[in-house]
Amino acid sequence: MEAIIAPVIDIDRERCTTPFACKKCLQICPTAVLAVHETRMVRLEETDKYLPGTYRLRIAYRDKCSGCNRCVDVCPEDAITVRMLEEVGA
Amino acid sequence: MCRMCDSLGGDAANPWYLNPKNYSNRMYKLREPGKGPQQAATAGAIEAGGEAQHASPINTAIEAKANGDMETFNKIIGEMNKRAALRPGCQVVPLHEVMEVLDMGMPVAAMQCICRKTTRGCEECSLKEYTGLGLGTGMLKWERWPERYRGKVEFLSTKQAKEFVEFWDKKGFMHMLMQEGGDFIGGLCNCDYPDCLPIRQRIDYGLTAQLVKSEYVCFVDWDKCNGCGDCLGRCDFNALKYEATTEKAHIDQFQCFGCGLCETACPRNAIEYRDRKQIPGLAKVW
Repeated sequence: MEAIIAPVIDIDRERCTTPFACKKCLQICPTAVLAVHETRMVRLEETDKYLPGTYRLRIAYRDKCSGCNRCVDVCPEDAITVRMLEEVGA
Repeated sequence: MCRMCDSLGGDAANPWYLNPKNYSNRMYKLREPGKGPQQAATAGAIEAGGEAQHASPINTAIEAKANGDMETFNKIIGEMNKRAALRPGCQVVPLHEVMEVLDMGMPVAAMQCICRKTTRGCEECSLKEYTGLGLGTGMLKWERWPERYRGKVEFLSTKQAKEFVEFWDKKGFMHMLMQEGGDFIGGLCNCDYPDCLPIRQRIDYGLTAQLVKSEYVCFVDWDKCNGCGDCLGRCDFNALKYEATTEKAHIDQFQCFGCGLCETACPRNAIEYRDRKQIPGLAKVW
């Protein structure tokens, strides 16, 4: 059986700076591939979600990505790209 | 008999979590290194620490799978399963037993679900939004470290807690007791696929110890079922479907986790719980 290779997802973190406040991609993904994590804690407390860089978007379950591109379409910052491996050139 | 019932005083009539002694403060202390059954299990390469302990191996496995490398994926999952075999993460508990658990475990506090926050960006900051329950004396550490509980907590009376769980059951969340790999009972989650980490790790990646099936299996009484379909759509485990041939609900016994969401939705009581251990072919299906 041929191995199934999932699409490659890239997040431009220069553009995606406040993923927890935005969360559009998190809520639209049919298979919930993405996850958001806090990056900065002050005395165990999370900092303002509107402050750039306090949260970080992560691809948690890439194997479940179908490449439907809904996250790409919904992203207001055009920060997400989803490509199949042949397009990546590997 | 699972290890939990073996070592924590469960028997044929009552599973371990219905043994009141398991809600004592002693359970919590067992978690401290070198003091309890957990010691042997932590001897592996994994550092203790809730969800984070799995972060690295599981992420490597997922990445391998995404790249089509099933060999590496299976190897890592196999190792993780071997290591976690004696350290269940969560167990599914049906609603009627959740009610009994809530009679025993105090204090109870509603709090946010961290999985839902991570995967769907849900912010649960008040009682109306909370979906998780902290249960047992472990909740007392809130007094010392309130800031650890992001989104804050709301302590509930037993009655309130029961209404809370019933509310989410109606909405379609199944219930699980969280052990987080230790012998103590840490919380009672109300979850569904795909945002719940343990469900996901079990169903998508085969991490069997992350989510153990409940003590029960659901059966459809086909004399009572009229095929209305009220139960459909509530199963998180792909066990429940409408069987067109018989025009009734159909439950796959081997897929069923015994969460009972279909049972609580059935207006005719056509779904019944059977003890998993009493069914020869399912007694070892956890």
